[in-house]
Order: sequence, then structure tokens, then C-alpha cells
Amino acid sequence: MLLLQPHQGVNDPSPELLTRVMAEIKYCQEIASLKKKLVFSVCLFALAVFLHVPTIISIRNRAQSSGMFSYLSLAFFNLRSLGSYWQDLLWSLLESFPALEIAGLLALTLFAGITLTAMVKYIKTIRGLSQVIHN
Amino acid sequence: MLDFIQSKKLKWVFIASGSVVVLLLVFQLGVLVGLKKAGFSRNWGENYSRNFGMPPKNPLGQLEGREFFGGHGVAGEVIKIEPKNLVIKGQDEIEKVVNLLQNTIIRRGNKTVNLSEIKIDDGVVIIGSPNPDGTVTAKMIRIFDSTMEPQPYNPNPIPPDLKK
Repeated sequence: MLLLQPHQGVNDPSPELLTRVMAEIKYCQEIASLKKKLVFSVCLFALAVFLHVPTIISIRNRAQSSGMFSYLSLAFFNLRSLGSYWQDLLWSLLESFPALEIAGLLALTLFAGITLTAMVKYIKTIRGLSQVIHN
Repeated sequence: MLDFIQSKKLKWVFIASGSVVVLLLVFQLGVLVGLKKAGFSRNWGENYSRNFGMPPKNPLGQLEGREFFGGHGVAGEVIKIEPKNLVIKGQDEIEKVVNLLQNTIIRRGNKTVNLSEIKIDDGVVIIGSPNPDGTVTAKMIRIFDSTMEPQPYNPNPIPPDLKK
């Protein structure tokens, strides 16, 4: 008879408990999802940083084979002698400029920057959610 | 009206317009450089047999956009010396005929030297202008050592016998 009576009294759970438990579960799920995104962005960031090496090497090779370094060193060491031929020097620099490789490097740097920003955002959100859960 | 002039929207319109102008200018510069390179490469390919006395290793038909080369500068090794021209093998493995003028400046380090100072296998950097026959008229030639590294500037060189 006693078992059939509804629980009433001081030991009853607070009415907000369910809401809080559900909210905590939601936060935990969100943290798990953010952690996955964080790992993904860390991988992309590492890839972008790693790809900088071959891109820089290709810029160096291209600038070397097109003679850009030679023209730059000429401009640096013999600028006075070049005198009125500065226009030809400028043209030779423009013609030997490794534009595509530098564009690739800038695109990679931009990509690395975007992934870094996303990483920071995810870390901040995860920290914020963890603090909410612990409080 | 005043609000619109001071608004962020108008500021972004100005930034976007400025960016488009810069982009168009860079695009136009790229077109100009590309035209110059393509023109010189075509002349070089058409006159290869006349300039070098043999069919081209890399005829124009096989040249593609990124393989075009300019005619305002040549950097490489001297492979042939003639009284009025030099044949230079570039760092891109392309040979170019360089015409010499009376007033072509030839420098080794800080000194102006004669054509006789240029030897086979010397590294040179040449600034000049392209010709319709696929050659380059040299305006300035800088001779480097074999490693292609420029000599550092030395305003007061001490002769070796005075070093003791």
C-alpha cells in the first residue's frame, strides 16, 4: 500500500533536474561534435603548413630557372650602372616573376589562417561549454 | 543623405571599387607581360634555325603558356663568343643569341671590362631589349663567377702583393 503512494517530500528531485540533465547531455554532445571539428581543422591546418614547404621550394626553383634571382642581384649590386636601363630591368623582373607559385603560397597561407581561426573558435567554445557543465 | 555618406555600406562600396581597379590593373599588366613573352618566344622559335643553324629542340608548337620566356633579360652561361654576339644558355636550358653594341656596358664586379674578359662557361646576367628576329640586344652585361653568385662590393680592393 505504501509502495503505491506517489513520492512526496524532501527527497524528491528538483523539477529543474530533468532540464539541467538534458541541457548537460546536449552540451556534451555539442562538445563531442566540436572536438571532431577541431581535430579535422587541426589536420587541415597541419596539411596547409606542410604544403608550404614544396610550394616555397617550387617558388625558389621557378625564380632560379627564370633568372629572377640573377636580375634581383644585378639590381642590388649594379643599380648605378643600370642607369637608364631600369625599364628593361623592370620588364625582365616582371617576365621572370613566379606569379602562379606565389599565388599558390598566398592561397595556402590564407587557408592556414582560416583553419587557425576556426581552431581558436572551436577551442574557445569547448572551454566555454565545459565551464557551463562544471558550474 | 549625410547618414548614407557616413555609412559602412558606402565605405565597403569604395573598398570594393578600389579592389576591382587594382585587380584590373594587375590583370592588364599580366596580359602585357604575357604578350611580350609570347611575342618574343614566337620570334625566337621562328628564327631558331637561322640563329643557331639547326632545327629547334623545343619548337614553338610545343611551347605552352608557362614555358614562354621574356626577351628583356638573359641569365645563364656563355656557350659561344663571336665578335658581335654571344650565345647564352639560360638557367632554363634555353639558348639565346645576344647582340652586342658599341655602348654595351660589360661589368665584372665594380669594374667595366672589355668583351675579351668574357670567357666560355662564364656566368652572365644581361639586361637588354628583344628584337623581332628572336635575339636580344644587350645594354648591360654583368659577369659573375661560375657559381653565378655576385661578388660583394669592395670599394678599396687591396692588391694581393700588398696584403703582406
